[in-house]
Amino acid sequence: MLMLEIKNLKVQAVDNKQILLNEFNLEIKDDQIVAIMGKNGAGKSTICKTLLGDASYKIIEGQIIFNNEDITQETTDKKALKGIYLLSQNPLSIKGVSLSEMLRMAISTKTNKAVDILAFHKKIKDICKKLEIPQSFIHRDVNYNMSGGERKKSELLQVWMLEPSLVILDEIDSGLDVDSFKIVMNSLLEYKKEYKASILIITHNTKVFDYLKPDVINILDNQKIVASADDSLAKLVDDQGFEAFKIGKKDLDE
Amino acid sequence: MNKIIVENDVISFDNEEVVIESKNPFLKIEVKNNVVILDKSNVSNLEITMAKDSTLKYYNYQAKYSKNIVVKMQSKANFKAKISLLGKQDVSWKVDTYMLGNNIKNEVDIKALSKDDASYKIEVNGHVKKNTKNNLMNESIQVLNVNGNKCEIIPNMLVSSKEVMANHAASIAHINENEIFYLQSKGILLQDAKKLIEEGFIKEGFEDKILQNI
Repeated sequence: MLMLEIKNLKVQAVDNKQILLNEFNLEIKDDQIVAIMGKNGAGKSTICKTLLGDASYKIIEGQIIFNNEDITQETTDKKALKGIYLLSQNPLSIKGVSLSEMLRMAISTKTNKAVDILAFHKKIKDICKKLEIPQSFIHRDVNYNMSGGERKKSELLQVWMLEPSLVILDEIDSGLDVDSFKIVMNSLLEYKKEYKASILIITHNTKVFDYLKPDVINILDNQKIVASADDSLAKLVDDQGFEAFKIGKKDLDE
Repeated sequence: MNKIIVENDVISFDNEEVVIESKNPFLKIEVKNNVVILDKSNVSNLEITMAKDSTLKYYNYQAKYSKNIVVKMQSKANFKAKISLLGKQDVSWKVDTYMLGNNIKNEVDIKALSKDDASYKIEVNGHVKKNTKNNLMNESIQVLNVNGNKCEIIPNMLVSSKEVMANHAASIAHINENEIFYLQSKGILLQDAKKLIEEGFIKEGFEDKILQNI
């Protein structure tokens, strides 16, 4: 069943009015892994933030349908509550707000009832063990004074706690050392298996695909998807780079 | 921490951790050795004298009323003030620190949340006496301006010595939109996101043992 459908999206930057996406289309089915690849500056992060309703980006045409519901103009909080989670490239830090406070607030909003503290801490304990982080982690300020690897693990901990049905990974490998990368990837695989979640991978390299095998890979260039195929496309990217997908340079049907 | 209701105009502390309450308009505190004070008083004029080699951690959490503080430090004194302001109307805070000897550490950190009808005038004056050396002075004043009311920050470093390490930072800012987006992207509603950020701003840097006494 179709989970996410983006139809003919046209997106403009609010500050300089530049068109960042045009005639952008994308489909993600339930329990599917879909990747969008593109060179630096191609607009990959714009997709993530537009999907979540960042006010810096304005949708001027098109639709975003999530589980048969038009969420194009929904606010960020409503989109998140419907089950979309963005694990961003450089997760923001917030001094003074602990991870625990933030999660309890998010969970109580989602469930519309007070958080069961015992169950909350038991689940946190299990996840921290899987991610190889101390349980005291949740008392730290959100991503503050954390290394790149700790920030990604902090975000992944939130995925497990908030149980989204669609996880968007924006350059998930950035800032991760070899060991942390392996832990994060295995945990994402486990999450996908347990929750039958869909994953949208936004990346400029194919390293992530060693763990998360995409069902579909899309190439982004010139504000739109210019090629779409199974994971064999990854080899073409590795061999020929993104220049091979420039419109007019190569027969995309090939 | 021991709770003390101060009725006199002068009180001395020596190796103590105390919560002070007082209804007097004026209070003079003498500090020896290591002292931690959580000030919950309504004192409007507070004078602190720190003996040689003494350390004072002074906390004032969510202060609602105006106050003038004067701190006089002798050599090797270590003064650290952590203050948050949550006024309901016009609030004026003035902190004057006097570094009278050598090898003194002096840190003043003030955060104010301007919401509802609050507005602030915050003045911090660090005085460094002539012919002193090896002194360190840090002043930090931040206002989170939610209501758009007038807020004024005056950070002064009045240095008569030729040798001192002095830093100051002052800012008046609105809530960071990226922080709002981040919290909303976790499914937290806009109003709750703002509340979390405001509360986090005002309590950031206060140790647990202090917050437990509030």
